[in-house]
Amino acid sequence: MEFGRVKNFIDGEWVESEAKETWPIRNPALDIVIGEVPMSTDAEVDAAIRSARAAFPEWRRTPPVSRARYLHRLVQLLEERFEEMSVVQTKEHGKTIDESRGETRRGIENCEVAAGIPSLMMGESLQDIASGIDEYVIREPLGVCACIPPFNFPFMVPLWFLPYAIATGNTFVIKPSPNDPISQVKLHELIEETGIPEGVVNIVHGGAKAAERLMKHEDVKGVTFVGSTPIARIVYRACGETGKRVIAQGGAKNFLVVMPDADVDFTVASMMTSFYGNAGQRCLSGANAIIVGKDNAFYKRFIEGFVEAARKIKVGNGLEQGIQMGPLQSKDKKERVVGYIEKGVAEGAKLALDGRKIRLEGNLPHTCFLNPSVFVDVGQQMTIAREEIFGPVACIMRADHMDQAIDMIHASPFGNAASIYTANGGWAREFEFKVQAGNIGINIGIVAPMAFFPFSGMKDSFFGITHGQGKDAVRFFTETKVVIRRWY
Amino acid sequence: MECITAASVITYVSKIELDSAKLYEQWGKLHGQLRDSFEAFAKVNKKNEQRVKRAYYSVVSDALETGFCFKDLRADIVIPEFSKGASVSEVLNLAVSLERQIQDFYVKAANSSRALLPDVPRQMDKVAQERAKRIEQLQVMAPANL
Repeated sequence: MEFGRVKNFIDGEWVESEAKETWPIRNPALDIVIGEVPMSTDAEVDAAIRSARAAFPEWRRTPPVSRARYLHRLVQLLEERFEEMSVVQTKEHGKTIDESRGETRRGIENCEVAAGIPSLMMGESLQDIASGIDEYVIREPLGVCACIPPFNFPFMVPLWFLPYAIATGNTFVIKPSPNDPISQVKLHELIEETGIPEGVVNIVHGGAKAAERLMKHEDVKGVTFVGSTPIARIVYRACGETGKRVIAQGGAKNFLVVMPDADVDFTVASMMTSFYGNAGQRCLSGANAIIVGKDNAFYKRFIEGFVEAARKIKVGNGLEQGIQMGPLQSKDKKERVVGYIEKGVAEGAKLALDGRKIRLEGNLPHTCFLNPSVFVDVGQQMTIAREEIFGPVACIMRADHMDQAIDMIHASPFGNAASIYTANGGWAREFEFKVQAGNIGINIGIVAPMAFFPFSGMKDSFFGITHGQGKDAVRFFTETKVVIRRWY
Repeated sequence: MECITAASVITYVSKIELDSAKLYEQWGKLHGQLRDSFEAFAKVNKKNEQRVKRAYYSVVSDALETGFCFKDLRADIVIPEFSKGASVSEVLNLAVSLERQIQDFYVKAANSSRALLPDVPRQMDKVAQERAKRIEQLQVMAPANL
């Protein structure tokens, strides 16, 4: 096993878990076991929380400018090990090396933004709210915060939160996804190298049980979660019951609307990334494309271009430079997607490209691979049009006009992202104004907000108030204290 | 080989710039009258390799179409074998031919990706313009003019 049994990082030490139960960590492209993750015991989760709690008072007293310096150092180390960090993601997740590098870059950007904490964390003040009396607001850290990230971006998603949490003076416990925890181990090795005090960051490996322990523990003051909507609801409820702050990001079913004036070549190229990037396993992936207008020739041209481009996608081991799509992260996840394809066929959608017929670059086991699928003439009530598939499957639908397309978007319970492809500024503005989705794309297929903007989400895609990244994350990880001051 | 992904194009650009830099260094050592110019070319090639790579690594992101951003781009530049017996005019002819291929590659790469990965084509345009000037320089360096 290339990476062995991963260890917990508690109170500045890498410690072997005593857990008997373990999960294999697999490289999905090669279908081999590359590591093993322990399902840590309750006592180990508690030890991580205790370590974070003990480190909090001193860390809180560390000036923001000094806390920021650890992040500056971390950025340096990440730049030096950029390729190593990216390769690990591809090995444990399966995504292409381009995608892993993108993930590493986005993670680093969050560290860079959070390193500006002396400015970001500033409060407000007003002199003479009454004569001789001043009032001001101070931002204070919460205490111990926990992070429960998903499998699909094992390196980046924790960095939507971790840098802001520690920069604002909180201490942190992360329970990485048991599917691909190695990226976080590698990241924390670098954090350790910055010389950060013991207990400020901690890793405890495990599954749902460890996550539940973190959510319910009275010493944890804030929880961030990214995953599916049913679990996001559970997290939101559990944290509410124990009085914690929570960011709970759920699933998605993102619509991409193609207006009749869209440039077909550009739109199709952009949509390939949106539907098939990361093998469709991201909450910003395109799921349903709606072609607007009654022009059958345009519709036909679009479908032909889309299917042809999807057919040509090179699928294989993401470590090969020319590969455009890697495998699904596991066999189970592939089987789930296959189930949706079967359901789509059974419900009468036309399967214009069947990704179950595997064509790979190179001699690789088919275990976790699917090629791109395209369904056309998809009805709004079909299961494949309504539920999150989380795989490389595109559903193409039609609408007579933009308002009908927007109604179709609003019929979905999700509201993570929506995009429009058009050359018409008026249509784009209307779309931006009307659509209830947290992230809107205009001629952009993956509406991934940069680190200095919040990663938004609406409806069943997000439970909470403030979001990850940027100023929203700073607000999430700080409590506001108001002081009114008078001197005699 | 066809290059489609940003990763494959960057790897290829890196190879072309570094291999051709090495060739210029060898040619420069072979013919004293070419040394200064060819050493300068080799230096610029290494700088280009870094510039294009930096453009890619600093914008690479899942919001950009890195897996799908290049089209109809063939990685088929032929880098000539170094030969100790090549005369000055043969070297210059080989260099012009090589530079034309490299310039053509950059122009095609930039054009196919302009809307999808803007920062990288911008760097490629700059390099292509430099290459056009270099071709003129090489043509002026014909033995009669040296």
